Amino acid sequence: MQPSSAQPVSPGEYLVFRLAAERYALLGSHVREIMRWRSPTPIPGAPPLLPGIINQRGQILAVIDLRLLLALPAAAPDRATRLIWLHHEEFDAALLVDSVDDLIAIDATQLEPSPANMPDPAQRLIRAIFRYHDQPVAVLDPAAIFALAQEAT
Amino acid sequence: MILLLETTTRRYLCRQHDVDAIGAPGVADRDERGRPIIRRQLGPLLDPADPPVAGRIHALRIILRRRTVELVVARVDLLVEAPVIHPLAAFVSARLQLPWVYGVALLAEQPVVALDLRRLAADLALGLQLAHSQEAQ
Repeated sequence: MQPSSAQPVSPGEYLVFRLAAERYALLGSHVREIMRWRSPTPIPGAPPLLPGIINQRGQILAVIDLRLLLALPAAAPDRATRLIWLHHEEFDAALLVDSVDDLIAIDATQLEPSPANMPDPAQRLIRAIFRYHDQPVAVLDPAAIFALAQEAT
Repeated sequence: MILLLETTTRRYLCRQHDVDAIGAPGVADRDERGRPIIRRQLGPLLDPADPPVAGRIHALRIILRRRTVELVVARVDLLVEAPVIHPLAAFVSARLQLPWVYGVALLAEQPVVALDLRRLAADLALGLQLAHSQEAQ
């Protein structure tokens, strides 16, 4: 089954995290848990974007390397690396990110539309922008994460 | 019934009825009915980081119409209590190079991949392999 199409960006609590030098965010209601990195069990024939599966409290989660989904260069995990348990509709996954910064409340006035001239895949994944410590934070669309992860390249 | 297979560094599950025989690996290049035997180490076939097994090894024999496939592993156990095998998430199964994985189970809280060995054997007989195996040849 395909994830449903993008939904409007809502104010609320956002989890802010880092990938390379950039900050991204997910609406907190889509985040079940934040886990420390551990090596996933590889799935034969899966692309590097999907490095394996983990067990988190009895739930089997596929790991999605968010750097690779956003066409950023791959990076080796370190002490700051985290896995974010993302839940959207009937889909669950563990997103591999460089580090997690904060959970912050964002109101509607802080949310700006995403720039229209972004290249793919950012164009499909980023739904809005807000400022955090004077730096832009890109709000990711969970439905687009699952849809893009499913598409063959 | 479900079999637990061990390679040098990995564990896999498979359905017992996918396997026609289990024994010591042979050296002949044809089976008793004259079918060519394709013999492969299961570990490196699935994962380039998994070295070939050595020492006391076992072969899972899968007989196809025109070929016999032998998959070499370090250990085979029949699981008395069959684990619950969960299907892969759709966004994962859609991205597999070849559909050799049909699910995942938890054994002692560790995820273990369940293999469709009959499909794997049929693909090997057709010359299909994962990209890392093709590059290694």
